Amino acid sequence: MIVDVFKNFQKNNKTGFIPYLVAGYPNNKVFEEALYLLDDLGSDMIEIGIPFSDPIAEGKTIEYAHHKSLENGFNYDDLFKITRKFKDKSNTPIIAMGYTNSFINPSPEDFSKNLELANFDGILVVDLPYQEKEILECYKRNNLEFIQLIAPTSKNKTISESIKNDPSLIYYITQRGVTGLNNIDFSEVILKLKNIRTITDTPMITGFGIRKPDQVRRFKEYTDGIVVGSFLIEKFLSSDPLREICNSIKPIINELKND
Amino acid sequence: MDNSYFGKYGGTFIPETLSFALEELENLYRQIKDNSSFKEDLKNIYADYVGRPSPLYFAETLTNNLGGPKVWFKREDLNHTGAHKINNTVGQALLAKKLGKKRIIAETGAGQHGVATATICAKLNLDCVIYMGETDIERQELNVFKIKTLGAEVIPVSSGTATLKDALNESIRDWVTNVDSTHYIIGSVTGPHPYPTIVRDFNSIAGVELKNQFIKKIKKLPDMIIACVGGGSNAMGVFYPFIENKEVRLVGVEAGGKNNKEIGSASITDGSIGVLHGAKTKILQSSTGEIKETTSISAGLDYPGVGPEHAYLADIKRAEYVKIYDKEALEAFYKVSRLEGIIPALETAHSLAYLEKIKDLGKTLNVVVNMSGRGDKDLYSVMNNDS
Repeated sequence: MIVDVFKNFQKNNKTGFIPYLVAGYPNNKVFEEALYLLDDLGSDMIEIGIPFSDPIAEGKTIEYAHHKSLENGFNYDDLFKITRKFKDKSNTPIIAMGYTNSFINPSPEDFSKNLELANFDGILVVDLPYQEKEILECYKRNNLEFIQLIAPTSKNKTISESIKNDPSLIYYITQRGVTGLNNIDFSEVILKLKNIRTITDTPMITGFGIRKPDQVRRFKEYTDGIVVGSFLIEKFLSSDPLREICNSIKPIINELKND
Repeated sequence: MDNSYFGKYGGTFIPETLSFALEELENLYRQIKDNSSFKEDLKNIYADYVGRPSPLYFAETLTNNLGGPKVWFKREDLNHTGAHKINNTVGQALLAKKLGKKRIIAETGAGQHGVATATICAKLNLDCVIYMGETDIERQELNVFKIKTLGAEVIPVSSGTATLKDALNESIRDWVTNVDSTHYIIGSVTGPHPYPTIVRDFNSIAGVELKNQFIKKIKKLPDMIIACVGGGSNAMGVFYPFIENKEVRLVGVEAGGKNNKEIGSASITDGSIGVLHGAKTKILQSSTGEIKETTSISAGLDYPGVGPEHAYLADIKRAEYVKIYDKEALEAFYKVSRLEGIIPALETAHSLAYLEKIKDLGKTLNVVVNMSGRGDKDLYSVMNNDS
């Protein structure tokens, strides 16, 4: 279970590493290879972006990746084949990250069953508020853990209300804005992470705009996992070989694992 | 949840960063909407700046030509800036002032909402940024220039289909980034709660006036009200005060696009339930939930979603929704221009085209078309279409 993996980090004062990929980007073959490479490098969970035509929380880089994947003819049969095979070989949890409209079509029941059969462990739906309990319950029923987003602007009441749904993780967004922006206020991040910890002991992961080991060093002790998305997706725009692209996150992983 | 939904439609499907801003907006709106000084401020701007009440006009020549029910126009096209859009922007700009926000952002398709937003921001000394798709910038050059003349900034949006839906995406992204300083004036009865309610309420001034004007003029209510529906703000505004009067038929006219074989923009008639731009509503989408690229000769109706309250009124059968194709709208555009000396917006021309379908209803009936906007902005597109 996702929750156990990160409870363990919490208990041992460690911080997990979570890379983000967009399903089918830049194409299915490279996406699939990247899953294995990132897993081998020491990923503790992998976020798989479900491409959507209107990804309102994404910055330019990830929006482009969503659109490119759709243009390439993204389809769930291909994705689910890839994830089933991956999970046959690896125990690393994978989560589907995306937008509500993908998760309720053709219905929450159908899509959650499909994700379960494709061996996904959990979901993170950017624009699904905690008040939508019916949808969340449906995913839980089909054995998908869910992750609750908390923003710098979230009120304590939102945090305490949302954890009543019993999320496996809290995902703290480091900044106001879309993915990949570069204006993290680390003293605010630390303050907020500490604040969340006074309200709940649900494990916390942190992301949005994280690119460098020295950033990670500043607040890793306050979080149980760190997500790297745009930094990695940007690399796919280069002509670098895949292995090199994946290796680019090694310094961050080393920062997390070597102490 | 409860009050954020209309039946099974509505909700607040937005990134968590924005939830406090929506809550703040809802709380403020609840506090001040019935506050007498706020109502007085709004009333004064409506009267002296917007030019309200807008007239109720009997279209006699058109009525005789059609040979059916009596046709009346509610003249929202005579408002300052030429459309109903200003009813909402002045209200929301006053709210923004109360929220202490000095920067306004808005999306625009045809440019009318952009102009209406830039206008009130000029008057109230608010910074204003308008997001507009590159495709729309090309087809609405004049409105882009108007917005800039009013002192606002226009930011072109090139992603996706480079139209209204993408301008909305970009506005939401801006809002997520600058939420502490910025108020987002959504231009239709779409988006997350409380927007569909707030935008409806500000637009309902047209419906309230219409009711009074009809009772004064002919001592009864109209038999039918027709309004075009893209996002649906002019329609919602004119329908809302009549929802309780079950004898009044409410007809929303959607844009069918070129013909019945290609996709238009008729989200209620042709769409299915989904979530777009913060609300669960009827949308045009693929079987896996990708939003479809819509078409319409009218930029203001060219949108793959619709206000959640319309989806609800359709479900409970309190309002009817029909489709009009580009060609029919163009015919009505010319016909009403020539017979009445009123050049309607292409959006409004869709409602006017529907009059052809109800010619057989009795001559004693009274039908109102909400003249949501004037056609000046569309002359260029119509010229291009003709050539």
